[in-house]
Amino acid sequence: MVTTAELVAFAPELSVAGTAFLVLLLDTFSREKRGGVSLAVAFAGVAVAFVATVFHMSIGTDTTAFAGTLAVDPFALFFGLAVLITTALVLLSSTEYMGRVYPERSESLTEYVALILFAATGMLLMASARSLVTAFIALELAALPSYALVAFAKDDRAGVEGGMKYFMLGAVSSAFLLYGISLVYGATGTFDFAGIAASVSAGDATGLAGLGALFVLVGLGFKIAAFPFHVWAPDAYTGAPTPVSAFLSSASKIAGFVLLFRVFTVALPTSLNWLLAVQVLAVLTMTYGNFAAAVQSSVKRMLAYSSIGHAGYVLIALAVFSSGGDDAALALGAGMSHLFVYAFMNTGAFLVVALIDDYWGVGYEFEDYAGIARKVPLIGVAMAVFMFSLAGLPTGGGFLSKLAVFAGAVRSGFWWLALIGVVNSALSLYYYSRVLRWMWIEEPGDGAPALDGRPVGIYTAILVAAVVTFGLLFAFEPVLSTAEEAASALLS
Amino acid sequence: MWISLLIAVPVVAALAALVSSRADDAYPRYVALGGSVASLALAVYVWLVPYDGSGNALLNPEAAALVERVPWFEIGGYEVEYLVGLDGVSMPLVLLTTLLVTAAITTASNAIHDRQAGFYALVLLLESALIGVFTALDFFAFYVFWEAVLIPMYFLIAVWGGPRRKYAGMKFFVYTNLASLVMFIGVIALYLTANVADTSMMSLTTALHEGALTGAYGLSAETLRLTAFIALFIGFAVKVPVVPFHTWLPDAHVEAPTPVSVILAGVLLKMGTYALFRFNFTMLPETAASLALPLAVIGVVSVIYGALLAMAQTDLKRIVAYSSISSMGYVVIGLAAYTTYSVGGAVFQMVSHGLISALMFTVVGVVYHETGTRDVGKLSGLAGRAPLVAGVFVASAFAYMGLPGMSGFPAELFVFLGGVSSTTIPYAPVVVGVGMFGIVLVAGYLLFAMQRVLFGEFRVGEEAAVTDGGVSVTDASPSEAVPMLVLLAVIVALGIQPGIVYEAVQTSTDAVADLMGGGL
Repeated sequence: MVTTAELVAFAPELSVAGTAFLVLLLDTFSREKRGGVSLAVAFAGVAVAFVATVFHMSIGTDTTAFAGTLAVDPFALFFGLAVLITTALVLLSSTEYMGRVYPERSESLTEYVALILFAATGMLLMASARSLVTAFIALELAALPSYALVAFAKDDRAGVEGGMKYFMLGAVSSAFLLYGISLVYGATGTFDFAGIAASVSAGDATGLAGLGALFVLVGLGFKIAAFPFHVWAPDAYTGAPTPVSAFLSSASKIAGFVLLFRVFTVALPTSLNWLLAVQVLAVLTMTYGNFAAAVQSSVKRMLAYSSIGHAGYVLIALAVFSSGGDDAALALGAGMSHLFVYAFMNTGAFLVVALIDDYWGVGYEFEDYAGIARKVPLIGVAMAVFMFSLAGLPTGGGFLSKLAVFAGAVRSGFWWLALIGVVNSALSLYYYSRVLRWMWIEEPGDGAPALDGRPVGIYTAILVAAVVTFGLLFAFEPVLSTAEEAASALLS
Repeated sequence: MWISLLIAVPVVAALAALVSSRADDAYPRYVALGGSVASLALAVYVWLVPYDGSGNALLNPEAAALVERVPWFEIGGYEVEYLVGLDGVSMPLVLLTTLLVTAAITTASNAIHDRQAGFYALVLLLESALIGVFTALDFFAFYVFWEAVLIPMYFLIAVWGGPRRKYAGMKFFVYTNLASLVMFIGVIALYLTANVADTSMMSLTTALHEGALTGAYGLSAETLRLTAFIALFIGFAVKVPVVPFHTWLPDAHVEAPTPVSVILAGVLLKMGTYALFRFNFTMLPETAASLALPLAVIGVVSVIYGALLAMAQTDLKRIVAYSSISSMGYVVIGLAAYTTYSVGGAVFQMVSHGLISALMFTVVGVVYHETGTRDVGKLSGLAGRAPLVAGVFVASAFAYMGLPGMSGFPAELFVFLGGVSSTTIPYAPVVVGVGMFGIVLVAGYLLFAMQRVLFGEFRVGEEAAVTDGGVSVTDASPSEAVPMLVLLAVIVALGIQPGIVYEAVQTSTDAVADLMGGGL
């Protein structure tokens, strides 16, 4: 029986899902197709969810619901906040973007909004899942709308190709995940995270469960686009409408990480020997992401690879988790806070690309960005904040969250992981500053198109992201301490 | 409150400069000038009235003046704070920063013609970050300001520089950022193994002096100290720069516009020696003393090699740039010698060289602005056409050579006096004596350049003076003359009465010299 308390606890999820239905319903009854109304309603729904999440955080809600299959705890709420913020930023910039870039799809804007909301609901539930069944369902709920969103521009070859690739590989990864889940279930006889951990500790068929853990790792590795399971990501991010790329590379990746964190810290103990696999994955992912990003000629593709690199940094947090105690909470909390900062700086960077590449139609290449910052200095400054923060220079929260990740690694004795991370981070400055060199220093070419229009929504989203990214340099304490508390609550 | 105000005023002025450009393109310059003068006035006021520093901020936490503490964040059990304060070393450097930025902004209108608002805003942001570097007493605050200096500097060189500006800007950025990272790793290694509760520089100093450092990762405490010392030295040496980490400097200087060169040579290089003083020589004195000979040799090589490189140049800007390497070598010698006069003299040399190199770059900037060339071979007889420029040129060259009555004289004299009696450097009289030979070289090439450029028949390029060649050369304009004369006045004042600054400096440097032998 569903109790009122459970419904209250799931107010954020219910609000987002309810808004998705409401948007579709409104669209059915209205004579004219008005995407703007749908967006406004959706934005309001996300705002309600945001307020509800903040409320739960402030009263310290920590409960389970629906027969213990879902949890509303500080850990879930922290990530829920990051997902909701990204969703709001993406929605804020979507009206003007879609209207200008894909006018032929303006009839379907409501579907676009509903798909984003359904995906966001799935992501929120991924953060709450504490049973392998709900985890899988939540993941599929997030994934299916995402495939459709990537291929939203039906007539665009790159979009359809990216969507197809994403769908095929996503389906394969789901199969891996499902197979891993079945192995774990076969070994332990339960889907419940805590039950699995207890059973493994008791020594039931650990070989089988270990194999299952590896399959689960591969399945989730696809979701967070870790090397070598990343091949879908650059094409999907490049082909998709850019706000969708922002949504996928930020919110979807964050949701993948929540599940990864919860499954591997709560359900599958380190005695199953997955630590080495995660360490290898972390090193390969950050190194590959960085080197691949350095050779790109398109800004959007560079960002796609850079987001793979950042997944590598966060994987460090999971890789060093074995140490236990305070250090483990610091390591995990650091990874969480990096994802939180990343939600702003990465979303912001993709939205700048959305504005320049598509809205103004300047082009995808670095060369096309020549001298842009002279015409729109505000956007140039915002991009500088995002790029330097992503590179880990102390101009934004990215410096502190990376520092926390590396400090957590060193404290746990994994100084070599931190060192590889630092070297990677230093190299990344090369390609991030390249964007700024083109925007600020190169002369604009003769054939440079006029930058037509100043879209209020996209500007607002970018500036909010930039201000928060910069502000997190000063107000990092609440983020890190909240993340650490959530992590230690999860670990105890 | 005072220090935060010092950091905030330039930021506010920068924003005002950006906003004002909406009304009129000419406004940013005046706003920036007003902002920099306000900063200078504030710094002077702080120095004269509320500042009451006594002693070294790192060795005696009570000694720092006007300390401000705001909790920032907590990580892995370490309290990180926004912690700033002033002592006898940082106060003169803050004054130097505000003075040189004002001078640079005053002369900038001759060199900067497009995108003015951005230029002035970045210079002011740079000033703010520089003040932060010199006042920060928490390592993380220090590092944030340290890195924040790079970003405006990169853009200032790469956007407003000469023909090879993009290459020079990138080289500067990459070199100094890599160096920062090496330094960062070194300091973090010390914090992680030194058993401290917060990340303030005082705590680390105390912990290191009390021998709280434990070995880690299979390294003994001694090895760890040495490794960290080398990492820190490399990190800071790039900024100074000492040979062989100097190759970014001539490129950056030649490409940078004059006002940026003034700040680069006058203040940015001092970040390196300031940090060497604070970290290497105050926190790890035993290690520094045990490495005194190699360090002094690096200093001597920088002095001699820098001077020889300067000798081989024909571009006036390159000459001054390489001379800076030479002059900064004296600072390294002075620090390594660990005597009262050598350490005090080294810090005094930072201030003195900041003033002199700023003046020199300004003069070269005026020459370039008037004649369109900086090539010694193409210039001749400027004295007849521009007597004021020629006079300042001669004065600054003499200051560079360490002529008595100018600030360079006491600075270098103190370094040598202290240096020869050093107990840390073996064969100190010989090593320092070789370093002194650098002065002869400086005198040689500066006199040569001076004679070629200023005296003889008036000529610019291939044009002979008989026809005037259509080249019209006038004397310095007021916006150039005033800052030059002010700088010259300060140089002379410090030459005649070094105590104005040296007394404050000494309160902070004596304790450092006493860490290792001390003596005169």
